[in-house]
Amino acid sequence: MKHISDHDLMISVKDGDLDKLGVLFERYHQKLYTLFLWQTRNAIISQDLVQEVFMRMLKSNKTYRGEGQFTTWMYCIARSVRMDHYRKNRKKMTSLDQAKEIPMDGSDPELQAERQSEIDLLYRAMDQLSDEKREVLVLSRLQNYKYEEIAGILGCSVGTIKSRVFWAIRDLGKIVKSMNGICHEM
Amino acid sequence: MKCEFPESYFVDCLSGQLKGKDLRLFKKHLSECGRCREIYMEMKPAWQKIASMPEPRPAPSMKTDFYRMLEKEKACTGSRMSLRDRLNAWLQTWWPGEPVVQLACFIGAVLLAGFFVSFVQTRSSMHHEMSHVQQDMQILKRNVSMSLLQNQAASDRLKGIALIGQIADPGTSLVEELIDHINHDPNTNVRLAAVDAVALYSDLPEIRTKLTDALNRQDSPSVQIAIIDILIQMNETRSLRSLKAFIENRETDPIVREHTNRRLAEMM
Ligand SMILES: [Zn+2]
Repeated sequence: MKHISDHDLMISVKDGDLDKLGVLFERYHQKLYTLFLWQTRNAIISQDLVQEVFMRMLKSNKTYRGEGQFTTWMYCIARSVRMDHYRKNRKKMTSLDQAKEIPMDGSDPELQAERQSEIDLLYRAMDQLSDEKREVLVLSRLQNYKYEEIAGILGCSVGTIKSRVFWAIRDLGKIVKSMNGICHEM
Repeated sequence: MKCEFPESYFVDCLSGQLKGKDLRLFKKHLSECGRCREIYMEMKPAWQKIASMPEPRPAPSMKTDFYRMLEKEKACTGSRMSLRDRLNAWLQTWWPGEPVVQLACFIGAVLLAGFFVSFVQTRSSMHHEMSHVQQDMQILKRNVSMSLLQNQAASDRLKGIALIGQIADPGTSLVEELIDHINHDPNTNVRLAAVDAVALYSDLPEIRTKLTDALNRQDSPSVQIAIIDILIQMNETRSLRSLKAFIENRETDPIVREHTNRRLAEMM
């Protein structure tokens, strides 16, 4: 099948061809899910939030004007969905204890024990970062967005993004180091 | 030793984007400056490891839920087609393609017109009946939508709001009801749908103040954005003034502020 751009797909959705939203779902549900999982640390909530993002794409498709990237618009919806969720559940925020187990449901059971414990450590370290820092790491390191793209998604300059990545990695490095003893690699 | 390398050098070096002279100078600095070297060494293992983390897989139910939602939405959209679209679709199904049959239909229509003239006498009373039926339908729709809006299930309230969109003259009570849902409905989708529905009556004088008031009560950024879009469309001095006050408020969400600023700038 010929590759149709995100923008063209969304324009078709806007014109009433709702099936095209399925194509966008196939393209982006995994990315949104990973992002939400890192933010909420809860698989079920993350699935619901992904659903909510696509629901809002349908309900508010009139606000899609196609200026700029589709992904920018999508992540903007994702952010507002997440914020609505936080506001509603401010009192019920997931604690770190619950968080420890949660990302595991996505991990590979075949992984060697050593690698698994390394991943667990990283999960716990990531968990201690602020939402802002974790978000930028997930987008840049786990989802491989370019800094320019992330700048578009989060609505700030490339310089700001790089600086945020710097502090995020620096904090993460410190946390890992303190959890792990001293790392020596270069 | 003066450290004049900004944070971006560390990030670019880690991601392999630092090239040529910049890279050489930075590496040289790292070999000479203990402080920067320590920072870099601390960052590097975290940088490498994080990219090797496995991607979490959502449960298969996520897909099935999504496609179920999509099917439901498709069914709803079908029933929300405008009268013109429905009429077109209906005409397409029965209007014959062959010219001969079309001619027959035309002659039939001319004959019918003849009969119609003879019915002119009785027509006015028929018309009277029809408008009664139409009025009854409107009242029925109004009552049904009212009772749907009181329902516990958000999906029913959404249906109620969709039904209001089909009522020619909803009257103040239904518009009030919509505003009430914008302000108090616990479900964001219902609130969004209510905002969309109210947009149809944006020419009513009281809507502007009610929406401005609703904007300040909202805690959901997406509903705020939906309201802001309508207020901007109204393009009325007082709404624009209250929007400016809204974005100057410290508590306003940055995304909403940015959206509003952008929309306002588009207007200029
Ligand atoms: Zn230095």
